[in-house]
Amino acid sequence: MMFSRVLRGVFGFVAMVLVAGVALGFATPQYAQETGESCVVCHPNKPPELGPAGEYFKEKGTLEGYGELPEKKGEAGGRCTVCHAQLVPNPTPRDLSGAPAEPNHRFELKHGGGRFWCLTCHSPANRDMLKLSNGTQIPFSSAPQLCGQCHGTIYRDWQERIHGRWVGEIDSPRPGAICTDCHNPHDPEFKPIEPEKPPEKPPEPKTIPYYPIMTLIVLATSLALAVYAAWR
Amino acid sequence: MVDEGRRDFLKKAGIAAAAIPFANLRIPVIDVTLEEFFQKHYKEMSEEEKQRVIERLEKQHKEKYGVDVEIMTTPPRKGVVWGYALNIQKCIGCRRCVYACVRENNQSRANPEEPWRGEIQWIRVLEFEKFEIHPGGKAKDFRTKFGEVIAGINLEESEHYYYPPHVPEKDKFYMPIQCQQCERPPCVKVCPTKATWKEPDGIIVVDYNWCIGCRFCIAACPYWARRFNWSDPYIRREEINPKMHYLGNRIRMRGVVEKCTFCIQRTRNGRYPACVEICPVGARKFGNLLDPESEVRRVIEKKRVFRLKEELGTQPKFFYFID
Repeated sequence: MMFSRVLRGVFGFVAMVLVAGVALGFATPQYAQETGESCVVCHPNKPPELGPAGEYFKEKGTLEGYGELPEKKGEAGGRCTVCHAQLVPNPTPRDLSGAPAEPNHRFELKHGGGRFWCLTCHSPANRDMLKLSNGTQIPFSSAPQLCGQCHGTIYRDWQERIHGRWVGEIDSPRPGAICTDCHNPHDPEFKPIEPEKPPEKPPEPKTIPYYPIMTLIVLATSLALAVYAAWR
Repeated sequence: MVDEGRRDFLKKAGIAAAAIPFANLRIPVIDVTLEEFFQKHYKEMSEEEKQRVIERLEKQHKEKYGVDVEIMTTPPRKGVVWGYALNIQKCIGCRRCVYACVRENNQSRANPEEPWRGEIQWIRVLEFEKFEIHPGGKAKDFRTKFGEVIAGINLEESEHYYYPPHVPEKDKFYMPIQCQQCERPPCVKVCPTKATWKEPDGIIVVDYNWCIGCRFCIAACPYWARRFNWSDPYIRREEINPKMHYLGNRIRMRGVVEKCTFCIQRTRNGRYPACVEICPVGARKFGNLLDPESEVRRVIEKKRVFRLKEELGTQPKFFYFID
């Protein structure tokens, strides 16, 4: 009895170490370099085959020099603790472009004109959550609450359905999108988009040589009349 | 009085009895059946008569375009007057609304052989130069009968064929124009056959079967909102939207006038118009003007609102606003 309890404890410890090791392993780019499978840790909904960015990452072990990444729509949101649970929060603003799991950190923070840093909005205690200014943790899906702290008038307009997209029935509309679906929170300014094609122009009207012909007719008629009058 | 009613009844019965065997006879030159020719005005039709007309129209659609369509006659809701609000500060001129409207409302597409011939679009997006409005600024002075004004925009100077690689362009702003659903519509006033009228929910509709194509309404409309079918509509079969309304997006014929109906087939069934749903910047708002909680009422209360060509007294139910 006693022995088995000890054994169980040992097994448990070993299992814990293993799990922690695997989790850490997943989180490191070295592992990714070998297998290319770590992507699913943060992108659980991604299809099994790799996209062009994934292929590049598998080959080089980094996305450095890949170029434009497809716009991310927050599908990795809520998986940040995979890495950040092991990291000590560093509140100093610095260049993050070389940080691991880099696609998540490869952007220029344009929001707030330099007044903000990650931990202004992301919770330092739990990186899968956002943080209101009073310290309350809220999930990513409640982003409007966070945005509304500064953009109060717009938040009110949104609640009254005169800002943003509202879809569904006219009698019971629901938000078609929350703030972060349309505005990139790290770079909120809207990017120009391609317009649809303009209406077809009508063809140039065909010009009839109206004046010369009419002038000729009038002249010829008057001449004929004059000749006829003179004859008589 | 009694006699008159009786005579009226006899006349109608006579016409009906005479017409039954010939109902499907085609009148050669104008190419309509007798039944179509003697079709009553939409407002005077009883429910059964409407049903018969709908059946005939659905059959015609099937014959002509090979598509099973559903033509609705949903009546207006009680206590509802639809209104529209458009944020010209947000509009980026991407024309998504134009093509959403074309797809939803079965408008005639550009014929690849002669693109300019059949194309009909109900929404036209105008592009304006931005300039500051203050005395001595770049803004031009206009002399009107109300005196000299420094006008913000001059519709005559707008451009609607703009096609840059990306919108919005710097120092430009955009203003989509469509039917303003006037409370006092000049187009309705001039119609000689009463083929166009204002419905109780404020939408100006056209009974295409009563339109004779005189185009008086096009001349009367100060907003350039009506379009004329110069030729038979050009729509590919797979692009036809089968959810139709008699007064709205059923496929028009050559020689009739059509216009925006606030997507009558959608709004009367509780959905937003197609242009509202597609707008990528959320510039378009739609709602019941009689409901103080609706989007449009809130816009009117909170934002700076103007209506186009207000001085004409047409009282549009289409509000442009800025934040």
